[in-house]
Amino acid sequence: MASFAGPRRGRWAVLCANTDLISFQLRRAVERCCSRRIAMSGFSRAFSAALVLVSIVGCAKSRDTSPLASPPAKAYVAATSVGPAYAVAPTGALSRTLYKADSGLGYTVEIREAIVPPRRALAATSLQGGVVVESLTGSGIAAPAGARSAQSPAVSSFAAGAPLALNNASARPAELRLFVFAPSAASK
Amino acid sequence: MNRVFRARACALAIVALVAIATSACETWGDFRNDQSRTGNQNVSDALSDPSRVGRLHVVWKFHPAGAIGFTASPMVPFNGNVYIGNGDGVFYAVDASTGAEKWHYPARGALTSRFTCNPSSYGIASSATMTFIGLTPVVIFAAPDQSIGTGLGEGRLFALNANNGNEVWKSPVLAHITGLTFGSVTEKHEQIGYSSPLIYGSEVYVGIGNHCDNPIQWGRVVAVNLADGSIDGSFSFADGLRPGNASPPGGDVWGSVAEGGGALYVTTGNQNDGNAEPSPSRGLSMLRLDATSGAVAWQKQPVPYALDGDPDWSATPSYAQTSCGNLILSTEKDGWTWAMRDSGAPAWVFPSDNPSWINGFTPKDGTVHGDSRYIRPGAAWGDVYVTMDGGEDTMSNVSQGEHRLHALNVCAPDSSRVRWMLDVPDASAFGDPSLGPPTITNGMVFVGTDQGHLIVIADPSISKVPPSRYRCTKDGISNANCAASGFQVVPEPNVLANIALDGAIVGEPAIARHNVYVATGAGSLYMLDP
Repeated sequence: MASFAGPRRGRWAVLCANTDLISFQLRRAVERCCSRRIAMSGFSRAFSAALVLVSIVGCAKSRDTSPLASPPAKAYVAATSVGPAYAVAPTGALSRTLYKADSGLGYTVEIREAIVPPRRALAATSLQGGVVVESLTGSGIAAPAGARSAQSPAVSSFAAGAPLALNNASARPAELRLFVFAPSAASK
Repeated sequence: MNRVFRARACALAIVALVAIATSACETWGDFRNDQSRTGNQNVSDALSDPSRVGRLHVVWKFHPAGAIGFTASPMVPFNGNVYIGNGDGVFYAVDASTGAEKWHYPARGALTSRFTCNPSSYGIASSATMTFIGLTPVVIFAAPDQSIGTGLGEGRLFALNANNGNEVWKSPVLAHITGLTFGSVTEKHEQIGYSSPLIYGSEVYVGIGNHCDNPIQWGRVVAVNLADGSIDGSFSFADGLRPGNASPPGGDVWGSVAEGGGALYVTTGNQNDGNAEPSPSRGLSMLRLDATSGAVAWQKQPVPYALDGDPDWSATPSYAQTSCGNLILSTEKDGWTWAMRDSGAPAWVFPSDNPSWINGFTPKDGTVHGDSRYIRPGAAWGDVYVTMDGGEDTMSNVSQGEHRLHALNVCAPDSSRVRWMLDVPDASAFGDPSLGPPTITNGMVFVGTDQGHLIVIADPSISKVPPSRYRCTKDGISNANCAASGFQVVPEPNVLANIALDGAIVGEPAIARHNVYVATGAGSLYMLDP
């Protein structure tokens, strides 16, 4: 029934005045009639099809809802963001720290997020502390350096200083959350 | 009546209808404007004119004595009235031009429940709809009623003469309440709540939900006969039962039933209460139902029972006719938006970080499906769907989208799914939720906020001023690093009007008679004119 509520064009405007009641009644009548399983003759089918076609043409969308053009380069500005911004890490991943605190027990706890671009294998890195890596999206994303891939999705753990490879085999960005446990400055 | 005669009569009715089809554009006659629940109004007037919509201003305000918050949305049919029910249990007819009250129902007392826990349960929570019974214009709405059954405020439908508020019929009890003990699994705690009635053919359909999950109930869609309000026993849709009936199965129907292509579409709430899964398991799903029998034609259940963290699928689905075919669109409470085809095949899911998600989520896939607040229906406009969803932050910060609109290109590939996105101004960062359902007219989007602002946003294709900002679809990534990281740089559309009203706006702005009608949580109904 949605096709009956098409947008108005100028040539139709004259038909629109004070006809709401009739339109409403007819809409309900058509709905009741057509909601039943009835055998339509060839004439009726063709006639109805032609009229529906006219309706569609008359009510054609007056705006273009196809995807928008790409933004002009000069319009690129800094992104608005609520959380901390990502920075490009030396490995090539995008990384940000969401939380970092000293536990008071000789180690710090840091929660990081990282994004590995699609189909990218990034340089191996090692972190100062032990790390638990939670894969949020993507596949084959965190593995000891030298291994082909890890199970994904996965929660993986790596000892302090162990080389860590980030490989995103998927066509979409891979998001990781890293929980890093490092010796605090006072305990070093 | 001879079948061929009926078919020809039907065709002739279509002729007349085509001739005046556009007149229906003047009205807002159902929740989301039409039975397909598109939230779309195809009128080319000042409301869709970027150079004129900025003049939008309040013409009148209707604030009935004793009114509490409106959760229902105004309905503006052909007859010059606005119809809306209030949380205080009174249903109002108001002159659409002046804001003067025409009548209210009931004349004395109110339609309320004794089981109250949130705004869905106080009084009249959902929008009304309009039809004719014979030659009588009739307005139909759902409400609790303490004058029937157990006297606790069981839910039923009311049909009133739209001209004077006289009763035409009242249905039997449709939503049962047999006790007031929170959490009881032996008492029935059903309600109609936010589900607006759908009139299709000779039936009226409405969904049955629960009171604040205390506990979840037995999700159903019921049909009553339009002529007299009696229950149509030949229609049946309900969640399956648990082994041994250990507890109510859930699958509550919070949203409104949508119609498209002669079928019904419905979404369902959660089921996992720690007992065994119901069989058949109809919860957390979008379903296509046969309009005559209620039989399930297909079901999409992205979140399996094991991952049920209460991500009710409560947003009313939209049946959209697009250049890539008919799509049924809806956002689940966990933040993912789904597009389904008539056949039941999934067209896409957004976000789509893992290709396997299109087939549904699986335990240990890393996804989380909880009680976040994506409960509003979106608006469908051509090949665009405007919705509140989690976007690219769904996996890392799911609540980030609760004050944000995404416009999605429904026929585009995943790589260009997002058309634009906007953190809506004067909406709380983490509301409950922060936005009402958006409505749209020729690319102009109207949405209310929990801080009581009516915001008007221009799709970049209609804005006479290019977007002043572009942003990455993933929070926190600069535009320079965005595309290389696998995300999109998209416009932030221009806000053309921002009008402060007197309370939170949880319902939809109704676009009719070249005006905007919107109700607030402070108990006021407004008419605004550009």
